Amino acid sequence: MQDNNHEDLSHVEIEEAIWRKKRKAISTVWIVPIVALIVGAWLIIQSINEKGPVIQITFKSAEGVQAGKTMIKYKDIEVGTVTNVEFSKDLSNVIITAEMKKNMAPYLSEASKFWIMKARIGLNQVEGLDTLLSGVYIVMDPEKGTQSVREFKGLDTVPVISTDEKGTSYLLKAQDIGSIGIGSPIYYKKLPAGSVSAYHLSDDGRDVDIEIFIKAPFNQLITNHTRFWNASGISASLSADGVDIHTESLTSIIAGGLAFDNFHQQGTKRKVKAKHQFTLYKTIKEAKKQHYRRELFFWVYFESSIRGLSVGAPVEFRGVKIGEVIDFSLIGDASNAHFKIPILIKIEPERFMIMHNDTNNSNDVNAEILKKLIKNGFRAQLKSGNLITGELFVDLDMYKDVSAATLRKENGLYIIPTVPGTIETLKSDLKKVLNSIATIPFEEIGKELQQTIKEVRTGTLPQLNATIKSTDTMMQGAGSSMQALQKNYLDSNAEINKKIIRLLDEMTRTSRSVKNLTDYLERHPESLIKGK
Amino acid sequence: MRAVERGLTNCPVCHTIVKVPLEDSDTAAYCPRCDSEVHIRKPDSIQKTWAFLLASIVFYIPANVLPMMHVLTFAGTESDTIMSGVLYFIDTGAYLIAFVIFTASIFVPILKILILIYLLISVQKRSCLHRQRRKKLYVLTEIIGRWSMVDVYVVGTMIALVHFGGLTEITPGMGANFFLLVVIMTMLSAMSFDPKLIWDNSKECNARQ
Repeated sequence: MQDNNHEDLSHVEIEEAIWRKKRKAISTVWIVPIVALIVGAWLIIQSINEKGPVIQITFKSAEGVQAGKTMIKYKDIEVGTVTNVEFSKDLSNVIITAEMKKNMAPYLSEASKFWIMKARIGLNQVEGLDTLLSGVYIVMDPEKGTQSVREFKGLDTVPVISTDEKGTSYLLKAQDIGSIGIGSPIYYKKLPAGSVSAYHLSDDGRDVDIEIFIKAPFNQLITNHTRFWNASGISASLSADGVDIHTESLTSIIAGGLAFDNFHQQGTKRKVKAKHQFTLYKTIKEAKKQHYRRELFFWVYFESSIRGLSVGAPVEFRGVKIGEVIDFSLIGDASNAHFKIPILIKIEPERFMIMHNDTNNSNDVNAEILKKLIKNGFRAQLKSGNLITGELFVDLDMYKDVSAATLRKENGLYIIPTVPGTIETLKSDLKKVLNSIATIPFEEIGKELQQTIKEVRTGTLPQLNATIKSTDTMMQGAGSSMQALQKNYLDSNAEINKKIIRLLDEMTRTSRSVKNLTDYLERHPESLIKGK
Repeated sequence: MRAVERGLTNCPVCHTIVKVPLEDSDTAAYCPRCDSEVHIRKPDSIQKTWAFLLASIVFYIPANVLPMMHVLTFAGTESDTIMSGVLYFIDTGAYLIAFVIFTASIFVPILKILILIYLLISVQKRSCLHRQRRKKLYVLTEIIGRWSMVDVYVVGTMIALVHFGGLTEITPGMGANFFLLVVIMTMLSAMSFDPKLIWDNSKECNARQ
């Protein structure tokens, strides 16, 4: 533009600029990009520093995991972010790629676990409600291991126990799972002391193996004496003392649960290692019972009726229960029409002590001892335990005058010889009783009684009559004196009544004049000083 | 005949035409009317423009990589960079908003940086081509420059408006700070550039023609 009107400018008077010392020497503008570069470099270095290890987790399904959004959390704090979600090559699994925070690197070991957290509402707990709003997230359970791993297999179920929880795992053998599930609580004296972490069928398919976790410090209580039982639901028992309802907690009613305790037992208490196997009893009653590991089986043959004997009936030795009846059947011999009843009994040697010789702890019978016993008259006998119900039990005892017997084995089990049951002896005893009843002189007793009654009638009764008569006259006298009493005191004309009425009149008058005086004083209190 | 040849220039503030003798490194010229510093050409114009331009380029990277704002809801935190915000609006069908944000926050800064680079190189190479067009480009940088602030303005407004305690809250991310720096640096760069430099070689160009 200046080019266009330069001619006009020549006529304008133009002042000359004033020359003075420059205020600033050099422009320091280059500091700006240098600072920018430093900041940029710092950002790059920091992001490189912060870049954590990248891991891959394989899951059965992605369950709402989103790349770039889903976080990996530990104790609710973000430790990583999912960067990619894709299928495995055979489309059977989902591979989640995630970038972890740098400080988690030492915990990316083979012992660390990952699982997807989503909202779960169970009977005993509600968890992951926040995922309803924020979407699912992956939970990491970090644990230091021996080797650094970058590829993980995600858990399909949420583990009940996180690895940072202190405690010990044990195994329980149960006949069935009942209403127990993963996470079912375990109580000790009604305090929650642990939970069921897993269960599966045992290898032989006969029992259920339950894995449990007992939290510290409750795990200190677990010894070889500890008994576990199923505390699910409510157990009620009716006895002479009334109804006894027993339950561990409300959740155990609904969700099932176990309980344990240490009951008094024989033998020394000692600690058990982790993964020790215990038996799970069905009820607390069963758990409290003494349980014996050693069992010896014997045959006992009877020829008489065993009506009243049941499976589980006690086997006693001089009144002490040492075992029980396991089974019985009937064997007939067609050739001589002879029947015998073999009874299988179980003897638990731990219930008694045999001095000096109880070194054999196996499940085999010490034949030497048994032979000696039978030689000395060791016999079995059916006895009646209850005369009314007719229940029978097997009694073992030493009999003096019995025919000699030898030790025999049948089907691999020893036979204990028998003596005839008590039923027969009872019959003969009863006969004796009846005989002695027959000898009682009932006729004489009757005569004697008749005599006594006659005496009473002739001697005692007239005397009684006279006594009644004299009592009658006495009562009449009492009646007349009562009449006199009434005349003196209760009649309205009686002297004493008149006197009382006069006294009352007098008192009424006195009280009236007192009232007048007080009324006057109330109105003229000054009269107390001045006078009326 | 050009003013520069006569040692004439106008005061940048009061536009008085003053005569400025050849510049001396120790002294500076001042307007006799308003006492503001006058130069025939802005001092170290190319150098300054380059410096601010480079700074803006450096800041442009974190401005786009780092999140612009964090949306904190009770369900979690969501962080958005400029580009993710644009993609979000495209995904939800708000094409106009996406276009405005893309233009103001991505297209305009890049355009401005490229124009300034072109102007600087052409001036340094004493190019004679498209001198009028280059002037228009320079005017364009001045006009569109202020629109770059739209994104910063959006973030600022959102932070002020969305403040529902624990329910939803928006906080600025580091990206916003860098974006602000980018805008400031490009503005300073454009301000440092002296458009008169475009015609400083007009004599040679005229001669060539």
